[in-house]
Amino acid sequence: MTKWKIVYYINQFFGQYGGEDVAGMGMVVRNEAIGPALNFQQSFGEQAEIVSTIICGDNYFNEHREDAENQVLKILEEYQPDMVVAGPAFSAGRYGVACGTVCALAEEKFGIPAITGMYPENPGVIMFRSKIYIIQTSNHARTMTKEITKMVSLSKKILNKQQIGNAKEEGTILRGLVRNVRCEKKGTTRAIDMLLKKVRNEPFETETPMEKFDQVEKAPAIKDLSKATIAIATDGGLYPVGNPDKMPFINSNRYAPYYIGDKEFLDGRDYCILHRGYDNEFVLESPDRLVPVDSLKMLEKEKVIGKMYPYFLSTTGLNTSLENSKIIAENMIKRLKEDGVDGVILTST
Amino acid sequence: MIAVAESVGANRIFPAASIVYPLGNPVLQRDKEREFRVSLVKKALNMLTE
Repeated sequence: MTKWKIVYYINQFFGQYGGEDVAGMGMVVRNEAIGPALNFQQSFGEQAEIVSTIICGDNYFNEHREDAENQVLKILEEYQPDMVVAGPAFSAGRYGVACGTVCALAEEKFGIPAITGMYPENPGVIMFRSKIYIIQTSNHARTMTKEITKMVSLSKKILNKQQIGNAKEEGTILRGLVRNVRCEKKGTTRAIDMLLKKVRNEPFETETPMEKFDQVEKAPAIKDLSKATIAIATDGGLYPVGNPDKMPFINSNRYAPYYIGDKEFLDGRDYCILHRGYDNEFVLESPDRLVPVDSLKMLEKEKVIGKMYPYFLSTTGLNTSLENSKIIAENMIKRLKEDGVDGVILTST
Repeated sequence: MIAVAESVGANRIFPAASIVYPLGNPVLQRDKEREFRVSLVKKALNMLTE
């Protein structure tokens, strides 16, 4: 009986090398199943063999990403596994990023199916969920056995080329991918059935879960505008010519501040736009149409406002995920609060 | 796009002039456009005081 060959990735802690003290350790390859890899092997049974366990320090992996990736590629090339498994990383961010990277490499460079496990808020989830299967785990390694069982179950389906169910059925994190399926009942029938249940207060399940958004309390009103420092932020993707900060043109997760200084207005020749979601022509002609420096400068002189904050904060708001929007906002707010800004005008295209 | 801002839960939403020129109007002469822009910005600033 041919056994499936599996390469398993874990970090320094689960590899039993130590904790944070050895998080800087480089990559080690052991030709045996260690830690969670051993659990996985035992749970899977005889049909699979962990041909090697890759162990690497979480800090090393994240601080030397390129080197780590190259080493992983070499290992996969050498072992030619049928599958790659990593983690589970639970809520450990560095570990999640490492697991996600290893799995994504296997999938993208070699077409080797790969799975890992993470807690939904692990940063690795945003980065990798659309590229690989991520089993949804708890946020603590106490549930290791349960998570490994789920990972084994999904692995078997993938290796046996069975139909993979949706996120709920398989216990994976929603990948955000859409797949056509044939249903017994027509869409109209299903919709009416759902509506009738809703009207009768009976339980029903939506086919399209909608994102739930935070209820953010309104910030208190500015009492005296003439004493207030006002900042401009924008998601219109306006950057100095040449995009010196290499800002992304899509799904940004960061912003950059640009000095306004003594400028009375913004000159279109000094800027570029990295945002394909709108026709850039008008803003390039006169960037004040997006970042109203000329207006705020005038209102500062007229003492309508106390001061214009000397930087504008810019990002590209194209296909920005909710999570990334929150990250960008939190970082903008941190800076503005530290610099004593009282109010912000955020312009959007 | 205001509906999007509302559904996400933004609290102070000021309707911009256009998606492609939020605070401006290319049809107007530069000086008039600047006046128009200042008037929009003033209204937006007032929202911050409410």
